[in-house]
Amino acid sequence: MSAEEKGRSYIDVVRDELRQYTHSLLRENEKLRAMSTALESDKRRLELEIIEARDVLDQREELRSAVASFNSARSELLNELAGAKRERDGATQELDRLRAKFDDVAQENEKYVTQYHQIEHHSSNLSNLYVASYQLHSSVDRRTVLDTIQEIVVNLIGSEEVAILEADAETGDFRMVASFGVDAARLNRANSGHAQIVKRIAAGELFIDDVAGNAEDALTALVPLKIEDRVIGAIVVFRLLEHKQGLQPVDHELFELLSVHASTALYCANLHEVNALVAVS
Amino acid sequence: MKRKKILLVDDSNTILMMEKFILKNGPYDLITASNGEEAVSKASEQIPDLILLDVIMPKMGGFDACKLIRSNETTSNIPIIMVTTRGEAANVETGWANGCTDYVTKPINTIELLAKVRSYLGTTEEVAS
Repeated sequence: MSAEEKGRSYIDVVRDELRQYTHSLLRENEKLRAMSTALESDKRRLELEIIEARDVLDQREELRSAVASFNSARSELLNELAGAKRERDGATQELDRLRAKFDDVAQENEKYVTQYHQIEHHSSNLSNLYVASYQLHSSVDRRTVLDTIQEIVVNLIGSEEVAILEADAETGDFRMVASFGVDAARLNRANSGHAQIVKRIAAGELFIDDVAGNAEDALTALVPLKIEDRVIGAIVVFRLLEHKQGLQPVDHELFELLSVHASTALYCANLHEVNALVAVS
Repeated sequence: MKRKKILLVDDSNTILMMEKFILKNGPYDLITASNGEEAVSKASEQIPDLILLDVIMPKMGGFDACKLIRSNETTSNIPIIMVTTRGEAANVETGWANGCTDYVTKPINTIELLAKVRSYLGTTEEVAS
């Protein structure tokens, strides 16, 4: 083989090698292009992930800030709650103090109400006694005095069965001189049934039966009328009015008052009557 | 301050004196009558705000007086409290039938009478205002 042929053959070989090399370069280039495209795609994906991660970070930051502000608000609320609790405790103590004070005032008020009722009751009793005494001495007319004695028994003590007895100046026997709701027969019946009571008149003892009851001849009180130690008469009180629930302390005082003041009033009225008769004669 | 006028009617001076004693410290002007006729006459003349009327009286009893006071146009609305020794139902019924407004029994209980008077005329403070 000539040198020329050898040269041509060498060139062909080089050409083939170059062609193969070029092909391989082109393939390599294709591979690189594909790799580049893939990398570009990865890059975009990563960029998106970074953006998302940033968003997440931002959100996390926001949450952290929100939690911090929540904690701060919670702390403030806890402080306020503690303050409110202190105020509540203070208010509870104040309430307890006021309740105790209210109880004291209520007790005191109750005491005053009781005292007020006692005073009113006392005043009422004194009124009764004053009125009885005033009325007994408001006249020297015998009839008026006898009526007044009956009125006191009927209206202030509460009995519509009353008789007034007077001792006869000559015989010393007691005879009925005025009555309200009692006739002589009944008085005699009661007298025989209460022999001890008749003795009491003579003895000048005040007799009061607080539980006389409602029997027809039940004797509630026997008030001797005495001038000094001499018995000049008696007031006999039978049943109390139906609605009157027994004798009260003031009734006892009224009987006591009658035993003194009714006798002097009656005695004065009798003297006045005698004087009037003497003057006429 | 408008004082209230109360007509007290009773033939017993003892009761009239008691009633005056009980009521004299209140804001009341007290006038009295001693029987039913006088009560009817004074009620129409003086037009009281309240009448305390006894039941058994001479000339005219409390029930008849109550009836006449109710039949008079000028006095028909005056509250009338009967003051009676007899608190039994029949007696009270007669009082209602003749137009009484309320009743109290003798012996008069001061607290009860004051409470009833105040319930018809108002308390001291109410009368004062």
